[in-house]
Amino acid sequence: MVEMLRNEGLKRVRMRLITAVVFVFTLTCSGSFGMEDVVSSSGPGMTLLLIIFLPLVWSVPMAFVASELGSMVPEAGGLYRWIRRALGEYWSFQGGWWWTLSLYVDSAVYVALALDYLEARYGFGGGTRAIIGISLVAIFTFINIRGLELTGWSITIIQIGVMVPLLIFTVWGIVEGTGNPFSPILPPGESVLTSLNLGLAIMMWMYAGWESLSTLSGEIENPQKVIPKALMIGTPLVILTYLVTVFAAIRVARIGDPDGWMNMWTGGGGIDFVEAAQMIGGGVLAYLLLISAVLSNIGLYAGYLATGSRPAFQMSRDRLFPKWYGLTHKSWGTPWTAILVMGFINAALINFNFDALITIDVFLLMFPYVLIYISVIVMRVREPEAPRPFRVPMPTWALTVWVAFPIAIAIIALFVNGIDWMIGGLIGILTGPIAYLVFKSIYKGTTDEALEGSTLTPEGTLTEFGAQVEGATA
Amino acid sequence: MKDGKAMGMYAAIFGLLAGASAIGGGLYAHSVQPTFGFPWRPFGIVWDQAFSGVGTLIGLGILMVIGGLICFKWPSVGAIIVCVAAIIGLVYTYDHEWRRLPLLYYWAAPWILAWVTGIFAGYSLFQRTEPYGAEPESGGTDSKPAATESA
Repeated sequence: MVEMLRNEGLKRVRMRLITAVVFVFTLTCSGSFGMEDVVSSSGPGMTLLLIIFLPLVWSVPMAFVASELGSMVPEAGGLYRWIRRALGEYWSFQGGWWWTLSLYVDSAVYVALALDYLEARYGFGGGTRAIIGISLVAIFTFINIRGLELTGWSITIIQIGVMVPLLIFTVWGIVEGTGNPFSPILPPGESVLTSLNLGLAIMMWMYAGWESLSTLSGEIENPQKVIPKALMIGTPLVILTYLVTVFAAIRVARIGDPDGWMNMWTGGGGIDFVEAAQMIGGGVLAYLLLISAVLSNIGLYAGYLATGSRPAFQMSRDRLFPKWYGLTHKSWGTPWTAILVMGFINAALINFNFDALITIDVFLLMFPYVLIYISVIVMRVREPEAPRPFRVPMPTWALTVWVAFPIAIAIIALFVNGIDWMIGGLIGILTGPIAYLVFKSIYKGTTDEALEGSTLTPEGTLTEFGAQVEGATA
Repeated sequence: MKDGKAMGMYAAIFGLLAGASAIGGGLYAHSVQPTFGFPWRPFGIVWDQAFSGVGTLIGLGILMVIGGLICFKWPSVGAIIVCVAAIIGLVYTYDHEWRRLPLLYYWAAPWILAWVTGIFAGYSLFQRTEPYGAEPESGGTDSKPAATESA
C-alpha cells in the first residue's frame, strides 16, 4: 500500500521490517571488506576486541539515539531536522551541510572501490572503467528516483549476493583455518595507542551510518516504529557479521604461517578476503568473494545515494538551499533533482584521484555526530514530555554519560587519525559557515512554525501533518 | 526580531583576532626561523617569499583583519572573507606535505577564530533576516504557505 501525503509531495511507502533491516545492514556494514587493514595495523586480538567492544561506546549509542530522535521527529531529512529542533537553524544547516558534503564524496568512493576490484581482476583500461562506473551510477540513480520500494528490492538482492559467499567463506575458514585469532593482541613492539592509529579510524568508519536511514523518514510509513526496530535488530547483526567473518579470515591467514595476519591488507599484494578465499577454496570461492566484494560496494553506493540526497532536499524545502533542489517527481514522489545531482557528482568523481578528498569525509561526519548527541540531550531537557515512541531506556543523566563516550571518541579521532585527514576536514568545516551565509542571504530560511513536513509544533504538539503521519500508521 | 548587531560585532572582533593571530604567528615564525615554509608554486611559478609559510601567514592575516573590519558593517561579507582566508591557509598547509604539522600549529588559532567568526556572522544573519512564514513587520514579505512543487 502506498499513499500520498501531500504536504511534501513525497510518496510514503510501506517498508517491511526486513527491508528496513537490510537498509540498516547495508548502510552500516554490507560485508566486512576493509577490515583486513585493521588486523595488520592493530593486531588480530585488538581487532576482534574492537569489533566486540567499540560498538558499546560508538555505534550502539548512535543506534539508540537515532531511534529516540527518529521516533520523536520522524521527518524527511532525519538528522538535519533533529538538530534543527534542538539547536536551531544555524547548526542544523551546518550538520546537514557537512553530512551531505561527506556523503557526496563518500558514495563516489564506493563505486571507485567496486571498479578497483573489477579492474584488478580483469585489467580493463580507463575508458572501460569510466563506462562501467557511469553505467552503475546511472542505473542506481534511476532506481533511486523510481522509488524506495525498488531501491529496497535492489539492495536486498545485492545483500544476498554479498552475504552468501561471505557465509560460505566464514564456515569454511573457521573449519580449515588454524591458530587462535585473538593472539597476539597487538602487533609486536606496538603499544595500544600506536596500534589504534589507523585501526580506530577504519573501525569507526566501519561502524558508522546508523543515523542514515532516518533521512528517509519522510518516505516511509510508520517511520517512528519501523526505523528503531530495524536499528535494534541491525546492531547485533552487524557486530556478529564483522566478528565471525574477521575471525575466519584471521584463521585462514595463519595457514602455513602463524604470522600471516601481518600480511592482511587490501589494495593488492596482501591477504584480503578474496585472497583468503583463494587459499582455502581455490578459484571458485575466490571468484565468489570477488563478486561479494564488488556487490558490497555497489550496495553501499545504492544505500548512500538514497540517504545522502535527502538532507539537502529538505534544506531546500526549508529555504536554505536552491529551490529546484526540493522538487519531487510527480508520479514517483521522490526527490528526483537531489538524487540526480548527487548521481552527477558521483559520476564526475569516480575517475578522479580523490585521495585528498576522501580524507575529508570521515572528519566531516564527526561534527554532525557530535551535534546529534548534543541534540538528544537538549531535547530530553527541553521537551521531556514530548511523545517518543522509542525512548532510550535510561534517565537523562545516564544518557548524557553514555553519549559522552562517542563524543570523546569523535574528538580524539580528530587528532589521532593523521594530519592530512585533519587539514582536509578543517577545510570542509569552514565551508559550512560560508555556505550558510550565502544560502541564508539568498533564500532567507523558514520559521519553525512554517516548516514543511514538520510533525511537531514548536510547542511539542502534533501538527496537522504529524497527525496525518500518526493516522497513516494506525 | 533582534537586529543582529551584537552578533555582528562579535564576528568582527573574532575576525580581527583571527587576523592578528595569523600575523602574530607569521612574525613569530619569522623571528625563530626566517625561512620557515618554502615558497608555494601555484601554476608552476615560484612565488618566492610572498608565498612562504611566513608570507602566507602574514598576508592572509592582513586579509582576515580586513574581513574583520568589514564585519562591523557587513558581518556576512566580512566573515566570508575571514573564512576563505583561513581555507587558503589550510590549503597551503596541505600542499606543503613535509611541513604540514608545524604549519598547522600556526594555523590552528586563526582557523578556530575564523570558524567562530563564521558562527557569529551566521547568528547575526539569522537575527537580521525575516524568514519565510514570519509575521511581516514592514510588509512585503512572502508569507503564503508553501506550495508542493512537483516535476
